[in-house]
Amino acid sequence: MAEKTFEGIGVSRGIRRGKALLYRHAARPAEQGGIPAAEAENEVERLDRAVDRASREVDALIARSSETLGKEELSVLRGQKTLLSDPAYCPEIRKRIREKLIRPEQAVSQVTEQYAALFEKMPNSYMRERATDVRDAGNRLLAALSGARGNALSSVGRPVILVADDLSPSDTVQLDRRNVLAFATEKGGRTSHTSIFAKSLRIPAVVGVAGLLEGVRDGEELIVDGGRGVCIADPSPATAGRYEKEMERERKREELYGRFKNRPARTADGKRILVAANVGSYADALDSRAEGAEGVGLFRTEQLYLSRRSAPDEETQFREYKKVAECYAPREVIVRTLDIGGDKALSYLDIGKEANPFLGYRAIRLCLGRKDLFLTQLRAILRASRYGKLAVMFPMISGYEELAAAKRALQEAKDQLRKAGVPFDGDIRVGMMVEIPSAALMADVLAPEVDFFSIGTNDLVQYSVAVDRGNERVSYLYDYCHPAVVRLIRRVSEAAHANGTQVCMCGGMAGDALAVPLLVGLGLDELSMAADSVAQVKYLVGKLGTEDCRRLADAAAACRSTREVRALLEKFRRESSGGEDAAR
Amino acid sequence: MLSRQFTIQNQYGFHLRPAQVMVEKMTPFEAKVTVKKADGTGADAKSLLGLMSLGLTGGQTVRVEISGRDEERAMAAMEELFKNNFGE
Repeated sequence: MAEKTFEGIGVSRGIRRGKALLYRHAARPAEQGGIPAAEAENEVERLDRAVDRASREVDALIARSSETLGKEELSVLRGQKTLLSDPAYCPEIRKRIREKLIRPEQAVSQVTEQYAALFEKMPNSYMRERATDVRDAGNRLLAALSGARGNALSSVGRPVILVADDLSPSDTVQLDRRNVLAFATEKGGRTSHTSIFAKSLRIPAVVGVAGLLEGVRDGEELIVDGGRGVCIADPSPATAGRYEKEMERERKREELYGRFKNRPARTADGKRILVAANVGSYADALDSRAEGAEGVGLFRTEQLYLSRRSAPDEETQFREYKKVAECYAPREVIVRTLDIGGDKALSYLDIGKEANPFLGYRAIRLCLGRKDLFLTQLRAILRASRYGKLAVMFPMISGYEELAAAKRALQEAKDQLRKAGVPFDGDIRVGMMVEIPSAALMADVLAPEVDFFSIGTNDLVQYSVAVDRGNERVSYLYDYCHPAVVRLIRRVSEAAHANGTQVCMCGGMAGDALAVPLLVGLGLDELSMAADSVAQVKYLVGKLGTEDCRRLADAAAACRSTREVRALLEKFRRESSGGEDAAR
Repeated sequence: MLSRQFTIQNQYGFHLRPAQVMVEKMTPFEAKVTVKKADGTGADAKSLLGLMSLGLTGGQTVRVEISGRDEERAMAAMEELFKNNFGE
């Protein structure tokens, strides 16, 4: 047989290789047809026993999972319990058995479907997803009625890769974690509870894989790559070898950095450097927390606004922010307000065509012009703030007036909530991005106005060196090691510290192993990066001495060119590590 | 029987969470608690599905009827819920 590759959506990272186990939900014969009136009470009793058993199953599941699952995931399981004890659910099923003289199975299906359909018609996606949870509870009840003991997936017996049409959230949470190495399903999406559960249980998973059940045979060799979203059946020796190597690298990495993952990052001489993650969603938050991030230095909120027909309402935003806040509580999550402009088209936001979208009506400029959008987002952030520790950060601030206007809007949102009696964290910290050279140069004036600065190197380089990094002919100029950028960072850091303002960095530079000693030397208090870099940067920070780093920063600021700065950083790396970082 | 009228705070409407809070707070009471819309359709305040079926939106007025041994304490708890906007 030849190797077959299937593409899907990778929802939980990791590579696993093993034998496929095809899992099909046992098709339950629809128990159609009536029952004699005399049997109704017996059938009702059978139902009651099943309800009792199903709710005990859920209790046991909650008890078992309370350590591995987050608050959000546990609430899904609790929701099932609520449904089973809802006075509109089981009593309605009993009533149907008695009045229509139908089997409990049929009554359960009817009533479950009726309520699932009700949720499906709800206006927001969060509510619509609850339809799945209702059906999940119904299926559990049906399984209990059929007398099936537990779940076939909870004891697989040998290591396998599970291949299924779809897995319900409760299937997923019950997976036998010693033996289910990974799973792949034909259905499912990135934000379904099944995906979230896989992530929080750390089982590599790919969902939404078309043609999977047709193409994979039971017992066939299968590789699941949860990072890339790929499944490979019957891999060739070359492919298998390539993946084995990658798995080996992953193991080595884990060995080297794993010990540092769950410790607070400190330099060798004890200076605390907060190593945080950049995230775009709750799913990212789960990933990055597992990688050892000590907070979120940049929560990009754009994902909530993209690919929709209208702006997300306050409730939708509130839920997402709350989930991320809870995921990281008591550690801080910095939420950046909407950073969008003419380069990304939103159908409900007509910005029009701009000759220079990166210099145009975008980010804070747009938000100050569209107060309705801005206040909605600020209220949602504030409301979520009491479920953890959130901070607000304004993007693209070019000067004092803009910052003052943004802060006034925040005050207005607070006043609105106070007037409505809605609680929020009154001490919420406020910061701004420093990504425009004018803001970096005015840092001494801006610093007293905020609790923290966050340096965005991607835009800072683009604006200070005047280079479009998307333009291949000039992109060689795009380098955060430009001495001008180093000097700007130093200026921002000094101005901040003179005012007791914290300095973070959330651009690509923060996650670059080569640049970390320089950033520590420049006095950065927090580095925020993609989740994959967190463990490595924590490890690196632990080996640094602040005095060496400071000297390195002075030398870098005195360099004449990008090349000189890079050479300096390379030299520092060679001298401080006896080549052990080669494992990267 | 006690009966009182409340207005759903129009700012956030009556979503899943407020409904869950209502069910949680009302379930411990022995009394029967019914939430009725202006058109007369009603739901058991201890039933999440029932409350969701009402399809309440912000700004609507509902009548809460409570009858039973502990009706006064239940009504006090209900008033508290609306006063705090269900903890939102």
